[in-house]
Amino acid sequence: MTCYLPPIDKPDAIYNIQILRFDPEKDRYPHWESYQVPFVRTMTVIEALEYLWDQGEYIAFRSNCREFTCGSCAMEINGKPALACDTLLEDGMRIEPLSRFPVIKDLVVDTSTVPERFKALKLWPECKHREPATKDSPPLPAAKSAIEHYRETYSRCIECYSCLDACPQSDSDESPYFGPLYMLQLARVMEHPLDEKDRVAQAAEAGISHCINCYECANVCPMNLSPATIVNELRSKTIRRLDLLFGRRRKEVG
Amino acid sequence: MNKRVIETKKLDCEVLVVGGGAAACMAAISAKEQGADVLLVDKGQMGKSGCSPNAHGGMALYHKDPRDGWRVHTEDTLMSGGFLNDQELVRIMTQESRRFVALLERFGCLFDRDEDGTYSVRRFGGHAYARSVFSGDETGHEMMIGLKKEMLRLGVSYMDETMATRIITADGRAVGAACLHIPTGELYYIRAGAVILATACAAGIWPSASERQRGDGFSLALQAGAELVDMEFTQYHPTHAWWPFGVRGSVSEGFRSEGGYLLNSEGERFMERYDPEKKELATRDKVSVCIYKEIRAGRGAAHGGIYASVAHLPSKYVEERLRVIFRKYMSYGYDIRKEPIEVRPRPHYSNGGVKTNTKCQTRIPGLYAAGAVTGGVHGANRLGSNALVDILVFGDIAGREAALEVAAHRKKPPFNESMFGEEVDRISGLMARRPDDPITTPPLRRKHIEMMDKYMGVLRTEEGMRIMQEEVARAKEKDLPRLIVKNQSKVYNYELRDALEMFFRIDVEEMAITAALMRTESRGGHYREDYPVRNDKEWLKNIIFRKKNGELLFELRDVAMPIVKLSDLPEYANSDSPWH
Ligand SMILES: Cc1cc2nc3c(=O)[nH]c(=O)nc-3n(C[C@H](O)[C@H](O)[C@H](O)COP(=O)(O)OP(=O)(O)OC[C@H]3O[C@@H](n4cnc5c(N)ncnc54)[C@H](O)[C@@H]3O)c2cc1C
Ligand code: FES
Repeated sequence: MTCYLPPIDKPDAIYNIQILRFDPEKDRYPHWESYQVPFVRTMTVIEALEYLWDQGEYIAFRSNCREFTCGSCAMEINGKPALACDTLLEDGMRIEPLSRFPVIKDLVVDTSTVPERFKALKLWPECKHREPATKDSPPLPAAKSAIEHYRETYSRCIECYSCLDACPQSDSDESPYFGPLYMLQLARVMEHPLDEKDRVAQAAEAGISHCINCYECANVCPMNLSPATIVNELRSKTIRRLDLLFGRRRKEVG
Repeated sequence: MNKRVIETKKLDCEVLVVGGGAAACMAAISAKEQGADVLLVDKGQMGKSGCSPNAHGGMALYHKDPRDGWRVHTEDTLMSGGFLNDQELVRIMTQESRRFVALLERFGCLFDRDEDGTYSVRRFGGHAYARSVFSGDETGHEMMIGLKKEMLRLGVSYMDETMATRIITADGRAVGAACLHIPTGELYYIRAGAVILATACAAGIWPSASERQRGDGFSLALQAGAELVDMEFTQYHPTHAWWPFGVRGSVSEGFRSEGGYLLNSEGERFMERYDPEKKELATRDKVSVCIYKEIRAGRGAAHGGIYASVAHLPSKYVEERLRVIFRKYMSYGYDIRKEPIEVRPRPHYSNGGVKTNTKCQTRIPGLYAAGAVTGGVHGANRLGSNALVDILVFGDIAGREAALEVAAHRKKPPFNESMFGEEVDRISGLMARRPDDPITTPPLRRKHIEMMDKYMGVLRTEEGMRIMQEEVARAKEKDLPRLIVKNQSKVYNYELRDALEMFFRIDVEEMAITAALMRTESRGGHYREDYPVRNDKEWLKNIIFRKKNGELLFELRDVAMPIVKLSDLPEYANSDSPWH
């Protein structure tokens, strides 16, 4: 959503940026357009886009928190996925939508398959019997260090989809490999004290063996997480599972 | 008259939830648990929008200290709220809240533990004890992960990027809403047995830390005929990032509760002078006014804010305990372990809002409200980390009560075609009109944001507020009718969305100013330089608005004190300080 920027009276410089625009009602193909924006020290890409909105140039893009906690604003900046609110503006920047997903308009892409897959993978603590939560429910058994590890390793993921965009083995929803985001989410829920589902089998089903260990996902993660490391750990678990090796896979991934 | 340039569609559900933050998700989950057919519409993307994912600090729901309990928590909340709170709502919040930490963990969240496996708790300003459960510096994020997964698990239907533009009523009952689907530009008539508003507050009508809160829900409720309360009280987050430039958003209260200092240009820890006991941990409003006074006295920082520093704390501690803030500044090349940053108070929250009863019902049958969009729980000033508790507890109640009401009625409400038709015409007209002297939204919005900051900001005076009042009246009469939307696109027409928000904003500004001018005293989030003290004799009253036949009506109602009397807290009662 647009936000209020203090007026930029004395910019440090004027920058030229290129934005890949696409209007489904008018254009057959996306095309590059150049824009001039004033730059003030520590200004980010999102402020440049908001500045353009304020000038009446309504380029479509998603954003919300502007402090890298919601994961709405990932786009390709100079060819690499990054959060617009977490990337300092530079002269000559080229900004385009994530290429992993179909473009709807300008920088907005259709990510609706992500929650569908989350649902298919049942990424919540799956257990046969869930005790109702009451005032007197004791905290779930979890050690301080385990929770810190869990938070730093998995839970910080803001679902911005940068890792999916960067992954060469998962370039669309047709790919046999679901992609790093889903592996991280499987590993996350596996750590939850209530979860009883066979997440290792799910990872195998979702094509974890296709990962080529290129670490692109870890390179682009704005939260400094390493999905690649998680994939490796999870994969070593799938390898140790004979039932998965000999193809006695379950029909559905869910 | 106007050609209808927008397409329309119809949808049906039993409980319609408007919003996509924690209050909305909680309401949708609890209505679904009751068996209702629920639909959630969110202007942004469910789970990613609103303020909920970026609440850093914590949720005050775990009375861990044996001396602590709901009553102490209630007293803290009331003293902060200037006793204007609806005490029954506060009681419910403080009594019911504890269960929610266990509930969220069942949804898939995990919160920080101490060595003994119990929940770790933080103490926030204004709280007598440490009672806020947290997940590092990203509590709201953790909470939203769980809520989102639970939404998926239960299979609750939701529509992203769908903005409610009007509550549809029939025979005095809420029977659905008109909602603009931003991806296609279609206007949906969503018919529902009950509507729950969970659209958060209006802090974004100021240059705010919570820009995305545009007050839509306040205006929607007002137009529908519901009551709004305490609209003059704006909560300032005292430490909103000010410099370096690109960093916007608030520097969480954790910054101060973990031991950060506020310093003026002379390097003085000035809060020691204003509040020797609590210092930086005084309530937010007090800190805000103190900072503004320092800035006005010429002791502000280099770029017009005030310095905030954690340079005296161990590096490792800062990295760990203030991770989000630390990292945020680092990404701009600023090392908060070494350099102070500049902060400035910015609106963060509207303490007031839609008036609800203990079942989250508004004055209009079938219309419920929960979360930051409501008023009453927090009175004149919300305590830090009480918001996440409020939204969970009342989100849950709203969902359940709405589902029960729908189940009891069973009969589908009629379609109010004429009211929906009016809304179609209004939006079509806004798109199509081409007056001789048009204006667009961005300059008008900018002007209003700046004026609200100047005249309805932290330090208020009669004179300044009159200027703002005139501007609102002028804009309503002169500007709104000639506001145009240049972009005729149907797909992601953000210009249309912004223009519609402009109409909401004017309603909210009008209520806020009218109430602020009326209240000739200072209390909580309303500080008047011409009436700088609290006046309990005349002003233990709530100002309540509602709209009838297009006219804004107000009413003064004495505060009821069924649980804690003013005299129960003599130290507070005997002071005339606006803040506790
Ligand atoms: C930076 C920051 C830090 C905070 N830290 C804390 C903290 O530590 N502890 C604490 O207790 N509180 C904190 N708060 C306050 C707390 O986060 C909010 O009060 C709370 O999250 C509000 O929740 P909500 O569900 O009512 O609204 P939100 O989460 O703001 O959601 C509102 C929703 O309504 C939607 N919406 C708005 N208008 C419309 C419309 N017309 N149609 C459809 N949908 C609409 C929005 O898209 C959004 O999804 C913080 C707030 C901020 C901004
Ligand atoms: S806007 Fe939320 S991550 Fe960038």
